[in-house]
Amino acid sequence: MATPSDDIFFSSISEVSAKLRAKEFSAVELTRAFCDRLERLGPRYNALALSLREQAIRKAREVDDDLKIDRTRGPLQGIPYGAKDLLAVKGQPTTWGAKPYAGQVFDEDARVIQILDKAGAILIGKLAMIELAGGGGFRFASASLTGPGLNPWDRTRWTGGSSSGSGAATAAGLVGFALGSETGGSILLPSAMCGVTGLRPTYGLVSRRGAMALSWTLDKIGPLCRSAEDCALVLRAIAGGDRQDPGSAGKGFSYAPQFARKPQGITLGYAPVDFNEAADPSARADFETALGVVKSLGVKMREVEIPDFPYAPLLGTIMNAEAASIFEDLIRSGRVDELADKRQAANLKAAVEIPATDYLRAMRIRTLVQEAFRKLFLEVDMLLTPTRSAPAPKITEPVNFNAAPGPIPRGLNGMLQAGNLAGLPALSLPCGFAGGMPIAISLVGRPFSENQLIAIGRAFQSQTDWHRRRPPTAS
Amino acid sequence: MDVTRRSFAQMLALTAAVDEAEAQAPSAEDEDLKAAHEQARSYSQQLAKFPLPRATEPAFRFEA
Repeated sequence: MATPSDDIFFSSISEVSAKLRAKEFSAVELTRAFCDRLERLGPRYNALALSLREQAIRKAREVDDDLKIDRTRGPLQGIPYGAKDLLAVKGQPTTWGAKPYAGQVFDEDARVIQILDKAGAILIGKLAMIELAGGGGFRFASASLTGPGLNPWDRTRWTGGSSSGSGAATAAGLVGFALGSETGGSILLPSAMCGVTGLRPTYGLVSRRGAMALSWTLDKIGPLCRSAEDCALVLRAIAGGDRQDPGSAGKGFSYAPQFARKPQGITLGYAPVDFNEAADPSARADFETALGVVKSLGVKMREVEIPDFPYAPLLGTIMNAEAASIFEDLIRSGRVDELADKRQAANLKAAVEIPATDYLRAMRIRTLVQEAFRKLFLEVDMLLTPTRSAPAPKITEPVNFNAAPGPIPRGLNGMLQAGNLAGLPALSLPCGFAGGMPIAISLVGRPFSENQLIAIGRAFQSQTDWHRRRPPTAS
Repeated sequence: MDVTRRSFAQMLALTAAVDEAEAQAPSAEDEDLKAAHEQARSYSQQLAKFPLPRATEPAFRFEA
C-alpha cells in the first residue's frame, strides 16, 4: 500500500471511504498521515487542543482488521476526525477551552464520541474552542486557552467561534470532518468564516451527553465538513434519541436523498436586502451570484421578513441566565477571573444577578418566536440568508457577530439568533469570497427537515465549487 | 540624602493622595462589570417593552 497523497486531506468522506475499501492505503497509513498533518499545521492555526495519536493508531489497527475480513461499519469507518474540546474523551484532558478546567479529565466518552467509535470513525484530536463556548459573551478572538483561532485562509483573520478549531482544522484538511457545537452561532459562524460546510441540527436531534453544558435549552452538537453530503453522513451516525439527555427529542435521522422533494417543489423564503444593502460591500457580488445559483435550481422564491422580535436580548438573556446557573460555582469561587477574556468573566458575574422574571419573560417570548416561525413555515419550506453579512474580521478586532455595515434593514437579519431560539436546523454553504476570505449562505428549515436542507445544499454544491477550494496556507 | 520633616510630610501627603486617586479610579475590571450590568439592564428593558399575552407559558419544548 502507498502513503496517501495530499489530495486525500481535502477529499470527501465517500471518496476516502472508497479508497480505504479499495485498499489504496490502510487505515493506519491514513491515520498517521492525518495525525502528522494535524500536529504539524494545527498549532499554526491554534486549532489543536490535544493530539490523540496513540489511541487513534490503535483504533486504526482495529479498522484495518475489520476491513481485512470485510466487516464494514458504514462510510465513516476509518475516517479520521476531530472533536471540539467540550466533548469528553475518556482519560484525556477536556479543557472546555478554559484555564480553570485545564486539568479536567472524565472517565467516560461523550455519547457522540461513543457512537462514532462504533461507526469506525477515528478520533485523532481534540480541537480548540473559545473558552466555555463563549458563555456570557466574549470580546476578543483570544478568549481561549489556546489563543485566537487563526483562519487558514489568512492567519491575521479570525476563524469565528466558538468551534474555532473545528472550523480551521476542517478548512485546512487536518481532519476528515469535525464535531462542533452551537448555542448561538458556534457551528454556522466558523463554518462560514473558514469556508466549510456546517450543519446545525434541530435541537434535540443529537445527544449532548458528555458535552459541556452552556445552555440546556439551546445547546446542539453538529458536524463541520467538506460538503452537504458529508454533513449528512456524519449526522446519520450521530443523530438519535438518548434517555440520558433530557433535551433529546427521541428521533433519529435517516439520510434519504431519494425521498427529498425536488427543488422545483420547494418554496424558499428570502429577503433581497440581505444580499445587497445589508451585506458588506465586498461580499455583495458573490452573495448576489449565490442567490442567482439558488434560483437557477428551480425553487420557487418568495420574499419574506423575519418575524419582529428582540432576538439579541432574548438569546442573550436565556443563554447568560442558564450559563450563570451552570457555572455558578466557578463564578462564586472567583476562579472565573482566570478566563482569558475579562469581559466574558464580567458578563458571567453580572449574569448571576439576572432576575428570574427576566429569564422567564424571555422564555415566554420564545414561545411566541416558535409560533411565529411555525406560521412562517406554512408559507415557505425553508429560508435563505447570508450566514454572516461580512467575511472574517482581523483577530485584533473586537468580536461583532452581526457585522452589518451601518443601520440594518430588517430582511432576515437576526436569523442566527432566531434559528437557535426556535431550535431550527440550518446548513451553512460556502458561496464565494470577499477580499480573499470565504463567505457563506445558510438554509434554515422546519424542525427535523435536515434531509430536505441537505438535498438543496447538495443541489447548490453540484452547481458551485466554493466548497472544494483549498486555503493557500494549508500546505 | 537628608530628609527634612517638611519634605517627609510632603512625601506622605503625596503618597496618600496617589493611593486615594488609585482607589477612586475605576479599574478595567470595574468597567467591564459595569458594562456587563448595563447590557443586562438594556436587555431587560427591551424585553419588558415587548407585549406578552398573560396566557403565554415559557418555551420548554422545542420540537416541531
